[in-house]
Amino acid sequence: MNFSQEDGFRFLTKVTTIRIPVSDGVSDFLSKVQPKATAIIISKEAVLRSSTWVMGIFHNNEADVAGGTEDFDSEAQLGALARTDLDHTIQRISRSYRILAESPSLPSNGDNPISSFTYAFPPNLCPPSFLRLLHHLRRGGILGDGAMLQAAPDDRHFKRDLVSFSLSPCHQVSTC
Amino acid sequence: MMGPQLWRWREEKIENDLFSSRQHEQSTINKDIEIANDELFSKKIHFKAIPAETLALWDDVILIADLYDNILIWHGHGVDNEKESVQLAMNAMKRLVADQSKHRFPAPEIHYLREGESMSRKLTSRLAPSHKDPLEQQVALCADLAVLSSQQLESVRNKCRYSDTTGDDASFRQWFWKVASASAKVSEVGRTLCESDYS
Repeated sequence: MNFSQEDGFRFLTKVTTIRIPVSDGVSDFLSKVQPKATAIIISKEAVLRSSTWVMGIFHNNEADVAGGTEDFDSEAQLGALARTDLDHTIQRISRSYRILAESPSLPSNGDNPISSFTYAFPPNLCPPSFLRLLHHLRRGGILGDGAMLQAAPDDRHFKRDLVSFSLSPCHQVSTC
Repeated sequence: MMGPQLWRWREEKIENDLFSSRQHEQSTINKDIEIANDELFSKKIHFKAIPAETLALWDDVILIADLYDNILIWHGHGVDNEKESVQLAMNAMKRLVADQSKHRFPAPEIHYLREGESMSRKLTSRLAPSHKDPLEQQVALCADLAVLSSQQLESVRNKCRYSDTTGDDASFRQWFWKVASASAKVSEVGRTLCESDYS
């Protein structure tokens, strides 16, 4: 990358990327996935896509926001798109899992009750708690109105700002 | 905050049932809480973590719902506030709520709600509408329902019927199977959230 400063001084930066192995293989990687953290990362991305303004930073179409009157419509549309994206993500995780594990191994001990989720969603992601969180996110008013027809815009912005914090307070927010 | 967290208090005789927390450790992100009793220190008051669904609205329970910016304490209409055990539980709840919210800014609003009040919609609107599922699915996802008598069960299942007029609010189970089925339309539209556009 080539940078030049105001006084005419120019300098060149080289970036080298190194792949750091974090696990031995796909199954090892999957076994270490944390459901709550994954849910939060996915929802942070959904919140970014659903909004034009988060924590003082503009996203998506700045022009729409500057337009003023179209603001509300575009927020509603972006929210609907973010909800579709969330559904799409769940669909892709489920489909990949079904293709990857054609015959999922049944839990051998009695600790995990067998349910139809075992065949449709990766057990490592703890389907009931992970999916329930995303279901609440989807209908809870953060991503546009959704099922909550009377979510106040102020509340929505407050919650979006909370979700867009860095990961550790966000984790605390969702678990406390 | 992404999802409401619910705890249930119920008279002890029934709460010590066969259905331990095994089922719920998987379906909730919060955990059971035990708080010391004001009068009898050897005896603890138990708050059970349960999934935030409309099927949690039993007649004879007190629920604590933590929505992060609001904390709701909901009484079913079968709870007798004059009773000593209920008052002890309420004291414990107040301590619990104060303890949970002491580091939050802005401090959450705490609402005391009673079943049937108009403001109890603050809670019911945030619960996933699991009353729409068939009975066998409800019992499978929420095994605690088995401790209720058939009359109580019917009352819980019918509690939120009025809200069925809007067809677009799917229960957790309806939503998941609609989205995850192989023929779901969302596989063609939408972009995955696992790949970010922003740098």
